[in-house]
Amino acid sequence: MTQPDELVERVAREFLVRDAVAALAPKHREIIELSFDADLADGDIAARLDIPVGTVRSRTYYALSALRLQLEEQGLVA
Amino acid sequence: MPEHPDTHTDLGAYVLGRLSPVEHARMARQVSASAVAREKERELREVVTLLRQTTPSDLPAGLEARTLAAVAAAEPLAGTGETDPASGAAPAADELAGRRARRRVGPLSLRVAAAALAALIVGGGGGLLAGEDSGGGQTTATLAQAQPGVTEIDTVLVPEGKVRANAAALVTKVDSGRIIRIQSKTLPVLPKGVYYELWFVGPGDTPDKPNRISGGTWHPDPDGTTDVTFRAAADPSKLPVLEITREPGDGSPQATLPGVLRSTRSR
Repeated sequence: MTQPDELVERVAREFLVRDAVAALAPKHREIIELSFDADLADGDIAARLDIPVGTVRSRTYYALSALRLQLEEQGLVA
Repeated sequence: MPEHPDTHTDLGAYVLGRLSPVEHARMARQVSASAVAREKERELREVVTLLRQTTPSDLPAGLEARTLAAVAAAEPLAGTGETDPASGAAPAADELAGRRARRRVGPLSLRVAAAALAALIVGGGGGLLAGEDSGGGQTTATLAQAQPGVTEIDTVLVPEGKVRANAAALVTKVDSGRIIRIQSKTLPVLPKGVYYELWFVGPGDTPDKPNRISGGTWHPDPDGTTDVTFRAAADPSKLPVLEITREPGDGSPQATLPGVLRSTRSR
Protein backbone atom coordinates (compact mmCIF):
# COMPACT_ATOMS: atom_id res chain seq x y z
CA MET A 1 0.00 0.00 0.00
CA THR A 2 1.42 3.34 -0.99
CA GLN A 3 1.74 5.73 1.95
CA PRO A 4 0.26 9.20 1.41
CA ASP A 5 3.63 10.96 1.74
CA GLU A 6 5.21 8.55 -0.70
CA LEU A 7 2.37 9.06 -3.14
CA VAL A 8 2.59 12.83 -2.97
CA GLU A 9 6.35 12.69 -3.49
CA ARG A 10 5.99 10.31 -6.41
CA VAL A 11 3.42 12.51 -8.11
CA ALA A 12 5.50 15.62 -7.42
CA ARG A 13 8.52 13.88 -8.93
CA GLU A 14 6.52 13.07 -12.05
CA PHE A 15 5.45 16.69 -12.34
CA LEU A 16 9.06 17.82 -12.11
CA VAL A 17 10.28 15.29 -14.67
CA ARG A 18 7.59 16.39 -17.13
CA ASP A 19 8.50 20.00 -16.44
CA ALA A 20 12.17 19.22 -17.12
CA VAL A 21 11.24 17.58 -20.42
CA ALA A 22 9.10 20.58 -21.33
CA ALA A 23 12.06 22.88 -20.71
CA LEU A 24 14.29 21.08 -23.22
CA ALA A 25 15.06 22.49 -26.64
CA PRO A 26 12.29 21.55 -29.08
CA LYS A 27 14.40 18.97 -30.93
CA HIS A 28 15.47 17.35 -27.68
CA ARG A 29 11.94 17.37 -26.30
CA GLU A 30 10.65 15.87 -29.53
CA ILE A 31 13.06 12.96 -29.42
CA ILE A 32 12.24 12.24 -25.76
CA GLU A 33 8.51 12.32 -26.42
CA LEU A 34 8.79 10.08 -29.46
CA SER A 35 11.00 7.66 -27.53
CA PHE A 36 9.07 7.46 -24.28
CA ASP A 37 5.52 8.71 -24.84
CA ALA A 38 5.07 7.30 -28.34
CA ASP A 39 7.48 4.43 -27.59
CA LEU A 40 8.89 4.47 -31.11
CA ALA A 41 12.07 2.66 -32.17
CA ASP A 42 15.03 4.52 -33.70
CA GLY A 43 14.00 3.55 -37.22
CA ASP A 44 10.45 4.75 -36.73
CA ILE A 45 11.65 8.04 -35.26
CA ALA A 46 14.09 8.46 -38.16
CA ALA A 47 11.27 7.94 -40.64
CA ARG A 48 8.94 10.25 -38.74
CA LEU A 49 11.51 13.06 -38.59
CA ASP A 50 13.13 12.30 -41.96
CA ILE A 51 16.59 12.10 -40.45
CA PRO A 52 19.21 9.29 -40.40
CA VAL A 53 19.13 6.72 -37.61
CA GLY A 54 22.58 7.92 -36.56
CA THR A 55 21.14 11.39 -36.01
CA VAL A 56 18.30 9.92 -33.97
CA ARG A 57 20.86 8.20 -31.76
CA SER A 58 23.09 11.22 -31.33
CA ARG A 59 20.09 13.44 -30.68
CA THR A 60 18.83 10.92 -28.13
CA TYR A 61 22.18 10.99 -26.37
CA TYR A 62 22.26 14.78 -26.24
CA ALA A 63 18.60 14.96 -25.22
CA LEU A 64 19.16 12.56 -22.33
CA SER A 65 22.30 14.45 -21.32
CA ALA A 66 20.48 17.79 -21.41
CA LEU A 67 17.62 16.31 -19.44
CA ARG A 68 20.10 14.95 -16.92
CA LEU A 69 21.29 18.52 -16.30
CA GLN A 70 17.72 19.70 -15.84
CA LEU A 71 17.04 16.88 -13.38
CA GLU A 72 20.25 17.64 -11.50
CA GLU A 73 19.09 21.24 -11.20
CA GLN A 74 15.81 19.97 -9.81
CA GLY A 75 17.74 17.78 -7.37
CA LEU A 76 16.07 14.66 -8.72
CA VAL A 77 19.39 13.00 -9.56
CA ALA A 78 22.78 13.56 -8.03
CA MET B 1 43.10 1.27 -30.61
CA PRO B 2 41.04 4.44 -30.80
CA GLU B 3 37.54 4.51 -29.46
CA HIS B 4 34.81 3.94 -32.02
CA PRO B 5 33.69 7.38 -33.24
CA ASP B 6 30.05 6.65 -32.34
CA THR B 7 30.76 5.37 -28.83
CA HIS B 8 29.70 8.58 -27.16
CA THR B 9 26.52 9.26 -29.04
CA ASP B 10 25.40 5.63 -29.23
CA LEU B 11 25.38 5.45 -25.44
CA GLY B 12 21.80 6.74 -25.34
CA ALA B 13 20.62 3.98 -27.68
CA TYR B 14 22.66 1.53 -25.60
CA VAL B 15 20.92 2.34 -22.32
CA LEU B 16 17.58 2.27 -24.10
CA GLY B 17 18.37 -1.23 -25.41
CA ARG B 18 18.07 -0.12 -29.02
CA LEU B 19 21.38 -1.30 -30.42
CA SER B 20 21.65 -4.45 -32.48
CA PRO B 21 23.17 -7.45 -30.66
CA VAL B 22 26.53 -6.82 -32.36
CA GLU B 23 26.46 -3.11 -31.59
CA HIS B 24 25.32 -3.79 -28.04
CA ALA B 25 28.15 -6.24 -27.41
CA ARG B 26 30.70 -3.81 -28.82
CA MET B 27 29.33 -0.98 -26.71
CA ALA B 28 29.29 -3.16 -23.60
CA ARG B 29 32.99 -3.89 -24.08
CA GLN B 30 33.79 -0.23 -24.60
CA VAL B 31 31.79 0.84 -21.57
CA SER B 32 33.37 -1.75 -19.33
CA ALA B 33 36.81 -0.61 -20.45
CA SER B 34 36.26 3.07 -19.65
CA ALA B 35 35.51 4.58 -16.26
CA VAL B 36 34.24 7.73 -17.96
CA ALA B 37 31.86 5.75 -20.14
CA ARG B 38 30.64 3.75 -17.15
CA GLU B 39 29.86 6.94 -15.25
CA LYS B 40 28.05 8.38 -18.26
CA GLU B 41 26.10 5.15 -18.65
CA ARG B 42 25.05 5.35 -14.99
CA GLU B 43 23.93 8.95 -15.44
CA LEU B 44 21.86 8.20 -18.52
CA ARG B 45 20.30 5.11 -16.94
CA GLU B 46 19.08 7.23 -14.03
CA VAL B 47 17.40 9.59 -16.49
CA VAL B 48 15.84 6.73 -18.44
CA THR B 49 14.54 5.17 -15.21
CA LEU B 50 12.87 8.42 -14.19
CA LEU B 51 11.34 8.85 -17.64
CA ARG B 52 9.97 5.32 -17.63
CA GLN B 53 8.41 5.92 -14.22
CA THR B 54 6.71 9.04 -15.56
CA THR B 55 3.48 8.15 -17.26
CA PRO B 56 0.80 10.43 -18.66
CA SER B 57 -0.89 11.87 -15.63
CA ASP B 58 -4.46 11.15 -14.63
CA LEU B 59 -4.36 14.16 -12.36
CA PRO B 60 -6.09 17.41 -13.21
CA ALA B 61 -3.83 19.65 -15.25
CA GLY B 62 -4.40 22.58 -12.94
CA LEU B 63 -2.87 20.66 -10.08
CA GLU B 64 0.34 20.09 -12.04
CA ALA B 65 0.55 23.66 -13.28
CA ARG B 66 -0.05 25.09 -9.83
CA THR B 67 2.47 22.74 -8.24
CA LEU B 68 5.11 23.76 -10.77
CA ALA B 69 4.22 27.40 -10.32
CA ALA B 70 4.89 27.01 -6.61
CA VAL B 71 8.28 25.50 -7.38
CA ALA B 72 9.10 28.31 -9.81
CA ALA B 73 8.09 30.90 -7.24
CA ALA B 74 10.25 29.28 -4.58
CA GLU B 75 13.34 28.89 -6.74
CA PRO B 76 14.50 31.99 -8.56
CA LEU B 77 16.96 30.04 -10.70
CA ALA B 78 14.08 28.24 -12.34
CA GLY B 79 13.23 31.45 -14.08
CA THR B 80 16.53 31.94 -15.88
CA GLY B 81 15.03 30.78 -19.15
CA GLU B 82 17.84 28.38 -19.79
CA THR B 83 17.28 25.99 -22.63
CA ASP B 84 19.44 23.92 -24.88
CA PRO B 85 20.53 25.08 -28.30
CA ALA B 86 17.58 24.92 -30.67
CA SER B 87 19.82 23.16 -33.15
CA GLY B 88 19.69 20.03 -31.05
CA ALA B 89 23.46 19.85 -31.14
CA ALA B 90 25.60 19.19 -28.12
CA PRO B 91 25.65 22.02 -25.60
CA ALA B 92 28.96 23.83 -25.68
CA ALA B 93 31.43 22.92 -22.96
CA ASP B 94 31.41 26.41 -21.47
CA GLU B 95 27.61 26.35 -21.44
CA LEU B 96 27.63 23.09 -19.54
CA ALA B 97 30.20 24.43 -17.14
CA GLY B 98 28.09 27.51 -16.56
CA ARG B 99 25.02 25.42 -15.90
CA ARG B 100 26.86 23.20 -13.48
CA ALA B 101 28.09 26.28 -11.63
CA ARG B 102 24.52 27.54 -11.30
CA ARG B 103 23.09 24.20 -10.30
CA ARG B 104 21.07 24.06 -7.15
CA VAL B 105 22.19 21.75 -4.42
CA GLY B 106 19.90 19.15 -2.94
CA PRO B 107 16.36 18.05 -3.72
CA LEU B 108 14.81 21.42 -2.89
CA SER B 109 12.54 21.30 -5.91
CA LEU B 110 11.08 17.96 -4.95
CA ARG B 111 10.48 19.07 -1.37
CA VAL B 112 8.80 22.27 -2.54
CA ALA B 113 6.76 20.42 -5.15
CA ALA B 114 5.64 17.77 -2.69
CA ALA B 115 4.70 20.39 -0.10
CA ALA B 116 2.84 22.48 -2.68
CA LEU B 117 1.05 19.44 -4.03
CA ALA B 118 0.04 18.32 -0.56
CA ALA B 119 -1.27 21.81 0.22
CA LEU B 120 -3.20 21.94 -3.07
CA ILE B 121 -4.75 18.57 -2.41
CA VAL B 122 -5.91 19.66 1.02
CA GLY B 123 -6.91 23.11 -0.19
CA GLY B 124 -8.71 21.71 -3.19
CA GLY B 125 -11.08 19.74 -1.03
CA GLY B 126 -9.13 16.51 -0.75
CA GLY B 127 -10.06 13.41 -2.60
CA LEU B 128 -6.69 12.56 -4.12
CA LEU B 129 -5.54 10.52 -1.20
CA ALA B 130 -8.97 9.56 0.05
CA GLY B 131 -9.83 8.05 -3.32
CA GLU B 132 -6.34 6.75 -3.99
CA ASP B 133 -5.63 3.18 -4.83
CA SER B 134 -2.15 1.76 -4.54
CA GLY B 135 -1.47 2.56 -8.17
CA GLY B 136 -2.29 6.21 -7.80
CA GLY B 137 -4.89 6.25 -10.53
CA GLN B 138 -8.11 7.66 -9.14
CA THR B 139 -8.09 11.33 -8.36
CA THR B 140 -10.40 14.20 -7.80
CA ALA B 141 -10.42 16.66 -10.68
CA THR B 142 -10.38 19.86 -8.69
CA LEU B 143 -10.56 22.14 -11.71
CA ALA B 144 -13.22 20.09 -13.40
CA GLN B 145 -15.29 20.02 -10.22
CA ALA B 146 -15.37 23.80 -10.20
CA GLN B 147 -16.42 24.09 -13.83
CA PRO B 148 -19.73 22.84 -15.21
CA GLY B 149 -20.13 20.69 -18.31
CA VAL B 150 -18.41 17.70 -19.84
CA THR B 151 -14.62 17.87 -19.90
CA GLU B 152 -13.26 17.77 -23.45
CA ILE B 153 -9.71 19.02 -22.91
CA ASP B 154 -7.77 18.97 -19.64
CA THR B 155 -4.15 19.65 -20.39
CA VAL B 156 -0.98 21.56 -19.66
CA LEU B 157 0.40 23.96 -22.24
CA VAL B 158 4.18 23.87 -22.42
CA PRO B 159 6.74 26.19 -24.03
CA GLU B 160 7.17 26.36 -27.79
CA GLY B 161 10.37 28.35 -27.45
CA LYS B 162 12.60 29.64 -24.71
CA VAL B 163 9.90 31.09 -22.48
CA ARG B 164 9.92 29.40 -19.09
CA ALA B 165 6.22 29.10 -18.39
CA ASN B 166 3.32 26.73 -18.47
CA ALA B 167 -0.43 26.96 -18.17
CA ALA B 168 -3.32 24.69 -17.36
CA ALA B 169 -6.31 24.60 -19.68
CA LEU B 170 -9.69 23.06 -19.16
CA VAL B 171 -12.31 22.99 -21.90
CA THR B 172 -15.80 21.81 -21.02
CA LYS B 173 -18.85 21.44 -23.23
CA VAL B 174 -22.08 23.00 -22.04
CA ASP B 175 -25.39 23.48 -23.79
CA SER B 176 -24.41 26.91 -25.09
CA GLY B 177 -20.95 25.98 -26.39
CA ARG B 178 -17.58 25.58 -24.68
CA ILE B 179 -16.20 27.09 -21.53
CA ILE B 180 -12.42 27.48 -21.49
CA ARG B 181 -10.46 28.19 -18.34
CA ILE B 182 -6.76 29.10 -18.51
CA GLN B 183 -4.62 29.25 -15.37
CA SER B 184 -0.94 30.15 -15.07
CA LYS B 185 1.38 31.86 -12.65
CA THR B 186 4.36 31.78 -14.96
CA LEU B 187 3.28 33.56 -18.15
CA PRO B 188 5.32 36.77 -18.27
CA VAL B 189 3.48 40.06 -17.93
CA LEU B 190 3.33 41.71 -21.35
CA PRO B 191 4.05 45.29 -22.33
CA LYS B 192 1.17 47.61 -23.10
CA GLY B 193 -0.36 46.92 -26.49
CA VAL B 194 0.56 43.23 -26.54
CA TYR B 195 -1.69 40.50 -25.24
CA TYR B 196 -1.96 36.73 -25.02
CA GLU B 197 -4.39 34.97 -27.31
CA LEU B 198 -5.71 31.43 -26.96
CA TRP B 199 -6.23 29.44 -30.14
CA PHE B 200 -7.93 26.17 -30.98
CA VAL B 201 -5.67 24.73 -33.68
CA GLY B 202 -6.52 22.02 -36.19
CA PRO B 203 -4.53 19.78 -38.53
CA GLY B 204 -2.49 21.40 -41.28
CA ASP B 205 -2.49 24.82 -39.67
CA THR B 206 0.14 27.10 -41.23
CA PRO B 207 0.57 30.88 -41.35
CA ASP B 208 -0.47 30.82 -45.02
CA LYS B 209 -3.40 28.47 -44.51
CA PRO B 210 -4.55 28.93 -40.93
CA ASN B 211 -6.83 26.31 -39.42
CA ARG B 212 -7.49 27.85 -36.05
CA ILE B 213 -10.12 29.74 -34.10
CA SER B 214 -9.42 32.27 -31.40
CA GLY B 215 -10.68 31.39 -27.94
CA GLY B 216 -10.02 34.77 -26.36
CA THR B 217 -7.38 37.30 -25.39
CA TRP B 218 -6.11 38.57 -22.06
CA HIS B 219 -3.41 40.24 -20.03
CA PRO B 220 -2.06 38.53 -16.91
CA ASP B 221 -2.63 40.38 -13.65
CA PRO B 222 0.25 42.68 -12.65
CA ASP B 223 1.55 39.97 -10.30
CA GLY B 224 1.79 37.54 -13.24
CA THR B 225 -1.32 35.55 -12.45
CA THR B 226 -3.53 34.33 -15.28
CA ASP B 227 -6.93 32.91 -14.39
CA VAL B 228 -9.35 33.63 -17.19
CA THR B 229 -12.53 32.01 -18.46
CA PHE B 230 -13.83 32.32 -22.02
CA ARG B 231 -16.74 31.03 -24.00
CA ALA B 232 -16.15 29.86 -27.57
CA ALA B 233 -17.83 27.91 -30.33
CA ALA B 234 -14.71 25.95 -31.28
CA ASP B 235 -15.06 22.18 -31.51
CA PRO B 236 -12.06 20.38 -29.94
CA SER B 237 -12.78 17.26 -32.00
CA LYS B 238 -11.86 19.30 -35.10
CA LEU B 239 -9.40 21.72 -33.50
CA PRO B 240 -7.79 19.58 -30.79
CA VAL B 241 -4.63 21.56 -30.04
CA LEU B 242 -4.56 24.60 -27.78
CA GLU B 243 -1.96 27.27 -28.42
CA ILE B 244 -1.20 30.57 -26.74
CA THR B 245 0.47 33.31 -28.76
CA ARG B 246 1.60 36.83 -28.03
CA GLU B 247 -0.26 39.21 -30.30
CA PRO B 248 0.09 42.91 -30.99
CA GLY B 249 -3.06 44.94 -30.60
CA ASP B 250 -3.30 45.61 -34.33
CA GLY B 251 -6.84 44.40 -34.84
CA SER B 252 -5.75 41.43 -36.97
CA PRO B 253 -7.99 38.38 -36.46
CA GLN B 254 -5.11 36.04 -37.38
CA ALA B 255 -2.13 34.81 -35.38
CA THR B 256 0.80 36.97 -36.32
CA LEU B 257 3.54 35.71 -33.99
CA PRO B 258 4.88 32.24 -33.12
CA GLY B 259 3.22 30.34 -30.32
CA VAL B 260 4.36 30.79 -26.74
CA LEU B 261 2.74 27.69 -25.24
CA ARG B 262 1.12 24.65 -26.81
CA SER B 263 -0.93 21.85 -25.35
CA THR B 264 0.64 18.48 -24.75
CA ARG B 265 -1.26 15.55 -23.43
CA SER B 266 -4.97 15.73 -23.10
CA ARG B 267 -7.53 13.46 -21.60
